[in-house]
Amino acid sequence: MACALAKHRLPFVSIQRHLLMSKRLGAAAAVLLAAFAIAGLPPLTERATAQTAAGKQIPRMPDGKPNLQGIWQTRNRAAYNIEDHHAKLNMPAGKGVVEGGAIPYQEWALKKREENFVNRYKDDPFSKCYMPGVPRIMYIEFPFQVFQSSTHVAMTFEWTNVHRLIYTNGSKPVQGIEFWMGDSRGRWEGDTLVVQVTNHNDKTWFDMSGNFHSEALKVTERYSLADADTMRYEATIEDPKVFTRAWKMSMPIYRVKDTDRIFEYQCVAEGEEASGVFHREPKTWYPK
Amino acid sequence: MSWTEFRMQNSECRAFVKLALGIAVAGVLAIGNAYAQGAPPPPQGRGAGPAGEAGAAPGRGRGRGGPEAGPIRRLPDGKPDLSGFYNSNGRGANYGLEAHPNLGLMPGGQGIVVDPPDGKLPMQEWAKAELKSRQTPARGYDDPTAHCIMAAGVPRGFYVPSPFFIMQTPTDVVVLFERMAWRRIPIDANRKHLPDTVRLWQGDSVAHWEGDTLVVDNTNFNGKAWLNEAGEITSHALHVVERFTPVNANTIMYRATLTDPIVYTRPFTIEVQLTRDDNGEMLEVACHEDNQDLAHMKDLKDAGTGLEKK
Repeated sequence: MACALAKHRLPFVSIQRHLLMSKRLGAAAAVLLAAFAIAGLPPLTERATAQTAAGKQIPRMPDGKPNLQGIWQTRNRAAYNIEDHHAKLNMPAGKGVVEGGAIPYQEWALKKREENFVNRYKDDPFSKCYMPGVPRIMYIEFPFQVFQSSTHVAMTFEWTNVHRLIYTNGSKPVQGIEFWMGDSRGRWEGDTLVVQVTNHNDKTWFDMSGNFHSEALKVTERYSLADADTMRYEATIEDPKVFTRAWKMSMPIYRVKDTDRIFEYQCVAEGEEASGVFHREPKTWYPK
Repeated sequence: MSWTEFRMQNSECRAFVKLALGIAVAGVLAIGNAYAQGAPPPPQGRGAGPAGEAGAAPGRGRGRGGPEAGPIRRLPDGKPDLSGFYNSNGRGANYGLEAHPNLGLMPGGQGIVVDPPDGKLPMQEWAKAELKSRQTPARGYDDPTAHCIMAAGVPRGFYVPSPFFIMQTPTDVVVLFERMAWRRIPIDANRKHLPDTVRLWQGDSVAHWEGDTLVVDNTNFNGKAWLNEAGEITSHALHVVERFTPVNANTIMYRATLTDPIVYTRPFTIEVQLTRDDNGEMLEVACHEDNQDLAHMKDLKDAGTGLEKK
């Protein structure tokens, strides 16, 4: 078959990209219409300024916005299960991060979650080194670094070199394309960065316990600084196909102060090297 | 198997079909246009940039004669502002750094080696043999990017056919590659490299400004990355000095000098042009998540290994 010879795959990726771009242009008119519809809403900034952290000194950018830059990591056990859970093999016990305790699943979805849990070693997309999606990437047990300008917030993750680019320049999401990591558009409400994450696929989970969503997922994240070294993170989850109502998770994320860099964990590379399937080059590889 | 089944089974094949159709349509349009204007058809060249882009002019890696795009953008502190969404005019370097014709499915290229002046890689004898081996179908499997290990990117990230976004702060330049990898380049002349015992896919970067050029020094490589799909070689002894020189509002000349005494007889330098697109936005390349190629390449590797054993 011709494609058995298709070692040289990557130019095709860029061709696909161009096809997607033209699809996006086609949707531009719809985006404009939506923008006009939203323009009628009142501004949110005034009331949000009042919720600024009580008297705490927080770092700020030259434009006065909170400065979120630095290396951050959670210290909770949400990576294993975002609900309360007791310990199991390879899973320490932990207190959940879901406000109100339980995720409001629809009946069928609760059964599906239980199935996912039973099959978690086989089915968890994270264990296959797939991009974890949002919000999961924020609380896996790996650090990340934030870079900030007046128009963008970039997040670079140690885990498999994944990144997020949050637009804070007023631009609108792309239309009609699903992403593993979603499409992130942010705005400042006072001292809180509010990020709308849309365009998810239905392939990512929330944790290692099979908590899941559909492609109808919408995530609204809120980032604020409780003090210079503590970020308050909230994610409101909406998915009418899977849940009976919107629900919210919240947790602190802490500044990592004992290093000024994050390193790497290439999930696919480590898996394949460990399995021995990947050719080892004695002359070029670092000799260890 | 029906044609439809064949197409549905392999997204890469699908993309290839689209590519072939695209080339056919573009060809018809170009010929039609040429007839309409009474002009000869435009020259063909896989590595050339889009028409009208600065640097589409012939000549090795030069963009300085391109159309005026306004002066270099600067930050309030006067330093060049490299921020933005970019495409690279990689001139086919992902399939060979030297000038080369197309070979099977591997596109040709104009070559991006500017030193040595003959445009050839100064390979040691063992490296020539290893390169030949890497170019057999059985070895395609060994390219880390075939496994979607995308952090194989110094300097490869700047000539693969995939865009990237540069974010610049007063202390860092961060490059987010659409092929889901990133590099952090701290700007600090006093920053020290990691100890020799820490080795990374993309090495360790430290940078400083020399006038309007950002000079990046890279060491601590693990030696596992390939320079491109042709299999061109570097080792853990690699030392890369990159130079990002903005030449106008939308163009950065990117140069990288690679020194690797295990593989090469002398240092060599490559040069490509990076073009800013203010309307561009990154999408997402889900390489590993949709990697349908690797099984084919494993078959080829197994077949090749079987043949060697016989």
